[in-house]
Amino acid sequence: MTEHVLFLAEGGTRKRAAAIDAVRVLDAGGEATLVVRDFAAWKNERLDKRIRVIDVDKLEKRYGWMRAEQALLVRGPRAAFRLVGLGPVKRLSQRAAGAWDRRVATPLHQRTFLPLLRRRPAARPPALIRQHLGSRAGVDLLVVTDPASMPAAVTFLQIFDVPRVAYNLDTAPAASMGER
Amino acid sequence: MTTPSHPSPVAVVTPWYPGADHAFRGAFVRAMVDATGPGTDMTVYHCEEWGHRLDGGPIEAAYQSLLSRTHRPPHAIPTAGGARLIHTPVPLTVSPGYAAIGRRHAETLSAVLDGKPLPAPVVHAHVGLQGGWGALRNKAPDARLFVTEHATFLGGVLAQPEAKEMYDELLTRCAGFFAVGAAVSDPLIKAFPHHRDKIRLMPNPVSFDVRRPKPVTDLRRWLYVGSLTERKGVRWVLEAFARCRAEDETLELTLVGDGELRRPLGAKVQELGLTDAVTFLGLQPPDRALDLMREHDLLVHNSRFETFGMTIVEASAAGMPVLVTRCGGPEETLAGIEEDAGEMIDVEEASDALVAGFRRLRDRFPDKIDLGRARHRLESRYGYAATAEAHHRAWFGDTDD
Repeated sequence: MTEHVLFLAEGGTRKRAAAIDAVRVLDAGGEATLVVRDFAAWKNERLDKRIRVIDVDKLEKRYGWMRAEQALLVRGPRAAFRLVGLGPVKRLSQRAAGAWDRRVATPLHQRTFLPLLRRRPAARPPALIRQHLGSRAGVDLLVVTDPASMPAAVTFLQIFDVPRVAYNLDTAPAASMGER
Repeated sequence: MTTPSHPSPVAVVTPWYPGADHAFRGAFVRAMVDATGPGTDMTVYHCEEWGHRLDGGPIEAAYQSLLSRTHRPPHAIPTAGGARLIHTPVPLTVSPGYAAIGRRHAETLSAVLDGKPLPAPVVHAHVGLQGGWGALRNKAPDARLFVTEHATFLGGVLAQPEAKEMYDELLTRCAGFFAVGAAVSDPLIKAFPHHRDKIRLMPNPVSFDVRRPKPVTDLRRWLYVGSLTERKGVRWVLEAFARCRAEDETLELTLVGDGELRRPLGAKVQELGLTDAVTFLGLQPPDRALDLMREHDLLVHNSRFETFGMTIVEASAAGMPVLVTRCGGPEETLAGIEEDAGEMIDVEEASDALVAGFRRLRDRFPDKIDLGRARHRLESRYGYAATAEAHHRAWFGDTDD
């Protein structure tokens, strides 16, 4: 049976390690899922196209009423700044849009709306990941690739029944007989 | 022969060991394990630092919580020299000071061992306040601790009073302390003159097993192996190469390694119109890097500071001449064979010394250079057999039982 390895890389501080190990899983005929936050920060990492990437930030922002939150806090103001900033005040408008993002939209999202969203068990990251994976949600090995992913791994293991957990592929325990 | 007839347990504790993402980090520790592991029952504890800028509390709590899944029991895999390797990350808040780093290593190793002592009468640690402090706090009371120091950041450690105090305690309580070169032992002896007699030199081992298929006949294919960083002086290597290639269009340069200068160097190659002559290979596994040494004609090593300079010895083992800076370690490793092994130059923030050094070497090559003699001399100093014997003598004494 194909082995499904899920790499938690929420901090993105060891991108290369995660990317190399994911390719090794794929080359061995397995399935590799990479869970990240802020996928834009991975743009310099030439990720193999076969790796299934899940951006938890995106999943959260698309969940239920968070779409409305994003429209009000991010997309609406950005469109307004673009409209106002046509012509000679373009640079001024761009700076104002950046300041809005940094000082208003991001703090409100992270400190107010995200904790509110996470009160619902079904909207917590592991549940969102499981929902996103659907029928492929069976995970044989969980690889925790950076410090920020350690607390995430603890909550992940409360929802997912994962036979093996490791910090890299080399030192992961071998699958035992009868494992999924 | 100083190795006991029954393999004796030896625990090696190290913050650096090669992995899939860092093929070179700690390659010298693996070489030491490869050389000294045979004849012992060796377990390597690789306590790898994972830096972060987050609140340490939740991360530490999660690490402890995950131990039941990741390290109960610790999962050991085979590694070099017949040894076993146990890996654990050491989550570390960035820049907490060397004393705090040492304590985090000790706490993490203790957690991995479930509070029990390292199960070996001989413990060998690498890097004083990381592997060394972790091993000191986790060895059995009657176990003998040996430490090898390689760190290029030793000056920073000794400049912090609390870290210096811990280092003093480590030197007091260890059974033997080895520095890989004078660049390490000199500042230690200066800082701790009362430990002068305990601090000995013990170089890193290098494999001399494989010979190159054909000897070097001209100095056409240059090779650079190392990180692409300012400390390695790689910008000047590229500039010197461009100047020398202006005199000889057949020259080629291969760069093995990665780092913050990868992009600027790539842009410079384009600007100089050298795209056909310069190849960036990125990080390569150690075995591939050694193969590349056997496929090239000249190793160019322009580092600002090295405590040992393993690449230089590896290049000589691969039968290639070296053009190398006097940056600490290489003066010692090549002492007495400087002209046989290649050409030494002073460290400078320019490419002039490299260019002049290359011209002198080219004029002397091949008649006034003796790569065979250099190789033979280096093997007697740094070969696996010599290093294993020195370690086993320190660990087990001279008993022939």
